[in-house]
Amino acid sequence: MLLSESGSGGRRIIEPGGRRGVNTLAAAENPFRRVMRRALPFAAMSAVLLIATSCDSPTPGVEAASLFERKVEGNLFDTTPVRGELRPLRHRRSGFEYRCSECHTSIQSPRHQNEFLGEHRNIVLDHGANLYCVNCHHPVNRNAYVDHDGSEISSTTPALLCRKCHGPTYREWELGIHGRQNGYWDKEKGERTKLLCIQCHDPHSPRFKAMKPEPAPARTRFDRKGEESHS
Amino acid sequence: MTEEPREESKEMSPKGIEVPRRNFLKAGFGTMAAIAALAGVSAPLASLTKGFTSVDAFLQQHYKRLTSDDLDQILRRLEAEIARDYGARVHVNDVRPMDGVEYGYALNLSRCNGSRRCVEACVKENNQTRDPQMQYIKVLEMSNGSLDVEKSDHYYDVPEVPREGKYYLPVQCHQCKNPPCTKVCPVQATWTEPDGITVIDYNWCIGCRYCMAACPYEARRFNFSKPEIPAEEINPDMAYLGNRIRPAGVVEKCTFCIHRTRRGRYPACMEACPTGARIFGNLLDPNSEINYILKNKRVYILKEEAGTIPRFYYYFDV
Repeated sequence: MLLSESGSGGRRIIEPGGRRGVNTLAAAENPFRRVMRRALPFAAMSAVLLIATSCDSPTPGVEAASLFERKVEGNLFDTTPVRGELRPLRHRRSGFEYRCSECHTSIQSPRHQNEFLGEHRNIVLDHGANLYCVNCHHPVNRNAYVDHDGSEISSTTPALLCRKCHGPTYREWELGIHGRQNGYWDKEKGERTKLLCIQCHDPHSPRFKAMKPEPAPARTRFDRKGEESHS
Repeated sequence: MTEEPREESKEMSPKGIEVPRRNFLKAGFGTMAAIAALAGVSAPLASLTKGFTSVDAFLQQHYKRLTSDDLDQILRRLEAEIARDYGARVHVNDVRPMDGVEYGYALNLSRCNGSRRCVEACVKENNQTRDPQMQYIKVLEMSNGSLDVEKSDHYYDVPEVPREGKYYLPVQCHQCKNPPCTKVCPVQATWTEPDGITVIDYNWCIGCRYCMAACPYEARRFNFSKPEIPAEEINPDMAYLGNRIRPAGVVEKCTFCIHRTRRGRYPACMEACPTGARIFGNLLDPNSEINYILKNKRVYILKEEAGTIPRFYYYFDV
């Protein structure tokens, strides 16, 4: 991790591995254009910063996912978590993924969600009384979450963040009572994998979503697809 | 006048030995009768085994009385038969119970959302016939505030689950400690293993379905015709008492995925559950998750009054 002094004040943390080449340019081009017009000097400075950081080697994004990769033999049935594999903190837009720090190294954000900024408009915060972005996201290093004492929680261990409020659930999750486990019940025979909180719950709207059920069973044992039921 | 002894007509046997005609005819008729009798006996046998797997399979000894050589031969035969009938290369194993293990299953009724992912996983993992359809797990849609399974519906066909005012109660074999199904079997084709799993010797079952009538959980299914499974969907990892492709005319049931759990793995229904409502483990291990639930949660036993003492528990969470 590189520590650098930036012009807009304060100590900023720049993680190695910004984006390279075309993605970085696109990040500078499209969605931010409107914002940049409003604050041109600021935007220019951040663009310079982005290009500067893009010289580093890209961080392997799989470092987080590899902890929780699916270990399913035969692959006969789908055990993909409801929300998919764990991903590091990224922002997706126009087919590109940005690390949060790419913008937030230079852009400070208000405590509340800024609805005028188009970037996070798709996020609907429906997490009870938890209304502030920086309750969970680290105010300085946007690639991490924040703990009670202001220290960072890695984006690969979101359960440590959730336990700040959901203690009983966290303890049950640790015991293997809450959430799904895969692999081996007998730890001597093999590995057991646990799903993480955000692989099932959307942290911005954590209530478990309704889902489409598998088709109903045939009403009679000779019910066939496309034929009229005898029931 | 002494009567001369009647001269027996003499015939030459094919080998040139003189055989009295009467004896010859006796022997001839006897052989013919024997052949006819054999044909008579084997004709129904042939018709019985038609659509079955083979005469060998039909005349096979009970699982408990098989020597290891016999068993090995049978497993190889089963593999060959499946390869012939389904065009899939499979491996049939005999997985024995582990020492100091008794399986238990717990299901969180507060979490189950009725998505039927468990049913789908079970069908695929256990090589159940697709046509006519067979499913070991029934997910009952129940009204909130009611535990009356008679008023439940497991044919619910809705775009989204869970539905308002409903909760879901999946039912599968409860692997009872006092199982009515094994008691009524007239040929002892079904029994409880030392690790608590009630199994069926599918080659010994006569398909009388007494066990189905005895089971209070409707956990057993009858295989009405030769299973139809697409070759690419066949799970090649099979167990003799578990998920091998069963012949027609036998009763089948959930075995807690015997081929997985006896190797230390979780059952398929649990691995596929999107909400984590299912907990599986060793009841004899005091530190297992299942024991934590039995000690700390409000556990509900389905049809407790039936006195079956199941190893399948439901519990409530929130």
